[in-house]
Amino acid sequence: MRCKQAEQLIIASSDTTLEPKIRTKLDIHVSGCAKCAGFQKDLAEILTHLHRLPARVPADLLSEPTRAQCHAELSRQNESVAQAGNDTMSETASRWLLMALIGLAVLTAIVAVPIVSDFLRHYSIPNYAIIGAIVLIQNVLMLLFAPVLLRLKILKELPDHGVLNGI
Amino acid sequence: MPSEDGAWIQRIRAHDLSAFDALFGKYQNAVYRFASYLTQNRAEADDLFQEAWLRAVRYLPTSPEIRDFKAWMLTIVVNLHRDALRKKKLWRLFSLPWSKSDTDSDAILENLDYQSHALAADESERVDLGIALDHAIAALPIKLRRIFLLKEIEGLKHVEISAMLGLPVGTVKSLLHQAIRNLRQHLSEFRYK
Repeated sequence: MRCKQAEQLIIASSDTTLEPKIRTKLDIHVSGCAKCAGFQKDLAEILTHLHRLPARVPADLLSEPTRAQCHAELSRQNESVAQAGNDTMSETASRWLLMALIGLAVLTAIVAVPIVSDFLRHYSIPNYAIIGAIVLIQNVLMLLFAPVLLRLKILKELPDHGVLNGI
Repeated sequence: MPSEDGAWIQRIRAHDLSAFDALFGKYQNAVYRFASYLTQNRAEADDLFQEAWLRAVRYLPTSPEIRDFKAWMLTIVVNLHRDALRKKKLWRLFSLPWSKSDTDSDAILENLDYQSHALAADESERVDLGIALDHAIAALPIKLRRIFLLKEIEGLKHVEISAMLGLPVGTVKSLLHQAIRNLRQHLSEFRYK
């Protein structure tokens, strides 16, 4: 066993248990090599004194403000998540509303078209007028929902409160 | 990772501040100790400590599964310190007269204020050796100091250090070997003074 390998094993033995064969080889080498024996002794001394060095701990003047800043950061993240949640809710609501409106338009077309067509043909009104009448009816129905859609759009475009708070 | 750390991390992700306090209380000393030995400068250690915790809190919600919180925190400290050293080198390049202090050891030793104090006359030799060891650690080149601190002060294993620093295990062992040789050399000079 060479001295370089022996030194590496001496260092490794502080971290893991060496296999018995390797341990034996190392012990034999160290017992016959003053250089490696010195290395082993010095390493033991370094490690002993290392654990006796004075503790280095953060002062309260550092620890407490750091903790407070972290709390502020976590609170800011919490607010951002809640805001994103609200945005998601309004997006979902407007999506449902759009689907409802489309459904209403389809339903209107299915139900109203035959009725209105019959009625208007009875009075010999041209086809383009029939179509125009149906579109008009659908638009009137959509206008009833316009205030709701408008309110949701306004809510989405409000400024971010987190930014206003300066966080 | 201790199971309680995992539970606290989950609670922090659910915005439980008391869980953060528990984790902070458990690891603040280890983080500060590592930062102070790494920088050997109280002001820089304080900055590093604060910045590391803030960064941890910022990235905790979005980080993938954290297997070892202590190792994760120490990795943040290592990365922040690396960035700070890089900025310092650039600053020196453009603003200070040409001088040779790549290892920062001169600046470090000037600012070294974590001195052991003599407790009793019969402990003076032990305390002197402690001070010498402090100086020896401060004088290590940063690459060796980093690995020595992670291994011998923070108690991480070679494999963990290798994963943290992105180095092969063999390189970690080799650098640690070099660090111990350097320390030994420094301490032998102290003994013969």
